[in-house]
Amino acid sequence: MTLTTDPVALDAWYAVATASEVTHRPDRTRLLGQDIAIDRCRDTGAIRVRPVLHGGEYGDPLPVIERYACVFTTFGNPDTPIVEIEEAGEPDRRVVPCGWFTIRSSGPRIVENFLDMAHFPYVHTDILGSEPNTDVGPYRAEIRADVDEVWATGCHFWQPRGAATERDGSGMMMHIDYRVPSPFIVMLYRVAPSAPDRRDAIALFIQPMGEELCRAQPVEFLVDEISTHTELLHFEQVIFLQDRLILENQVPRRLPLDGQAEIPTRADTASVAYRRWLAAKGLGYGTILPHGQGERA
Amino acid sequence: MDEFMTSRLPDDGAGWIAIGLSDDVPAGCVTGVVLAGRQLALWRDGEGAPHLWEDRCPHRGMRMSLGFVRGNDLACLYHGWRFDGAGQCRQIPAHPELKVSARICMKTFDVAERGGMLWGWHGRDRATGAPEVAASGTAVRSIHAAVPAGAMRVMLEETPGEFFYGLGQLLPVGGHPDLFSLTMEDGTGELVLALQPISSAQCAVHAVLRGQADAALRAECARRMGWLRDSAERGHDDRQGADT
Amino acid sequence: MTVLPELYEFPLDDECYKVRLALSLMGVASRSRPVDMVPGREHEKPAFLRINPLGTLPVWVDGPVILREAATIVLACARGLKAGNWLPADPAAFGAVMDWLVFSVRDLHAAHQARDCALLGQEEPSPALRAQVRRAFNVMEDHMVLRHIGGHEWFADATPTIADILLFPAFALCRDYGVDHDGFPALRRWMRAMRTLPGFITMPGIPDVT
Repeated sequence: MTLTTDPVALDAWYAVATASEVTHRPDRTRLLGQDIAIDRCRDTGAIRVRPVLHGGEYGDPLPVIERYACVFTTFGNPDTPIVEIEEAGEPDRRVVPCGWFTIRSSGPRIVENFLDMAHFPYVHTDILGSEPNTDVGPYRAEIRADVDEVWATGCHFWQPRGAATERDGSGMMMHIDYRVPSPFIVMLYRVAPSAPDRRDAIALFIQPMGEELCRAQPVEFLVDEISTHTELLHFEQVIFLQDRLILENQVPRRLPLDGQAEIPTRADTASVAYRRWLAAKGLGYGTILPHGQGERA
Repeated sequence: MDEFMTSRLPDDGAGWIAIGLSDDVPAGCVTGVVLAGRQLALWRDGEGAPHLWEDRCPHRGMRMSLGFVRGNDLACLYHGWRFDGAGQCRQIPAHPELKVSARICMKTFDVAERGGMLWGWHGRDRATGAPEVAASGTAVRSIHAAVPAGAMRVMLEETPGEFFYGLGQLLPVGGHPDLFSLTMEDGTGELVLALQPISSAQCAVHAVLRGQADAALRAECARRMGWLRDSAERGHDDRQGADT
Repeated sequence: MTVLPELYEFPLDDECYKVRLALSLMGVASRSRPVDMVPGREHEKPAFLRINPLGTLPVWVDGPVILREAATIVLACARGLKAGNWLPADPAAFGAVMDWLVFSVRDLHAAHQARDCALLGQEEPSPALRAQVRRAFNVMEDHMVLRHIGGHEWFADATPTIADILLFPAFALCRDYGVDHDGFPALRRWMRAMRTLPGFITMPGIPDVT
């Protein structure tokens, strides 16, 4: 495999490792088709990300930024900085990186699944949803041109056990805002069940290894004085692995951006906005562009 | 794009292809099958009628073969969209009050049940006639082998004695490249095999008995089918090894 | 107050699921001790190694007894039951159960490896590893075809036993590593029967809705 030539994919920041896990021994992984090695320089202690060239030699180091417990890098010249998550800086926030999991699907399919509420009763049964409470009420989705992000606001869904703190399963109406700050990063904000005046934030950082193979790590930024670290982890991991079964069985694996390819309904307003946004950017990596757009050599 | 879509099949003509045993798809059950290179969902509704659909929900591309049967509907695992026996979407749980548009429907394929097997119609036009096998048949088993249909066909034509010795002689059924028949030496019954191409690396063989089909004979034939699969895979591995 | 046995476990692990499924089906009470296996690698840290020097999950701690293998935990729990047929006493059925128990540990290890690789690895599981899993499933399929013809729906006896429990996760989870259920009709039938048992539970990778 070789590095993609898709300019939109190249000019973005990607999380490729958890900073605390990087050692002096280079860890091999792949980003956008290119093998890379991540390690900590013995002299300076700084984290390095280097392409692995044919023959096993390392190329020139790529830009590295440590944020949100992760190591970010890029092959291109992103015209926007890494997403700003204000909550991450609050002193009492619990930052929980939930681990990297491999998924045979495209990054955009993974983002779209994260933006979706209608699947909760069927895929996250008795946790994030359950029949007969399947109704997705109206919400607002928009492409915010000023910040070049997709937002879905005013979302609400009835959840039997929407967070690790909700042990009794009696259920509550969860209020959620979704945010897509970059084609391969997706977030949600929800009212913190144990601190109703504040919002939890959960980000999903996707590392597209290939067009149809990704690693992804959910990172939580929570206000929760009750749950143990392991409880928070396992709650999110179970949800993520339930989605994995869906994601690996969607056909095609790449996200079709042609409006006629798949039939949305009102609950898919966020997904429709995301697809439009990607099509307007001309992202071809992990997508199927509408006919005639962005044909690549 | 899909490996199934691009694999070439030996038989381009229209016709019925065996896709499973009736016994293996009970009411309320759904499974994935491949018909002439297409990935399809085969399911049986609560009243026992079989259905053969494109294995893909029109909403978000989820494979319907992972779905679940409710009454006489098949529902998608991802969002619970329910489709009736005709393939028409009847309910979208995210909007329970919504009257579902008629254009939300499944691509359906003709399916027939005959001789203890389920058959899918391969052809541009709708099905004509019934599969050319006798009406009755008792399930033995299906085998799925990691070899192309062509390799399996050669084994069934050239060395059937390796697997079916002592039972009778396996012969191709005239005019049908994927049907084989063995009349028991004692004349009490007949073993019928139907070959199903799946991909360039996979095929299935479905076996039923006609006439005498007691448990002992079914078990004996089922064992022989297992040998057939294992031999085919071993032989194929050996040939692949010799090539490299 | 009686002290409950403790199960050290990781919810995404197929070996731990064997034990959870068995406890739920057999109605055995225990206390869950969640372990941060991924990403924390807590099972490799000194505190855990003092409990299980092998650094593996699941671990069962019942007073002075420490068991470190899913199959033996399930076996020991079944042996302690006052009623039921999860571990048949009849020698022929007992032998069959033990044979499949060993199969679940030895021959289905490839399934555990393939899943581990697919979930956490950098590459998809190799075709050779997946072929190894398929061969093990063929052995199970052949057996269940003959059981069905003989009028039986379970692996080792007329009713479900711990053999069924220990074999179930590898097959039910095989989509996690790119092996489909479609080619194993007898195992599909058995899997549907498993799902109807009182106390049956799923884990991520096995759909809840049916």
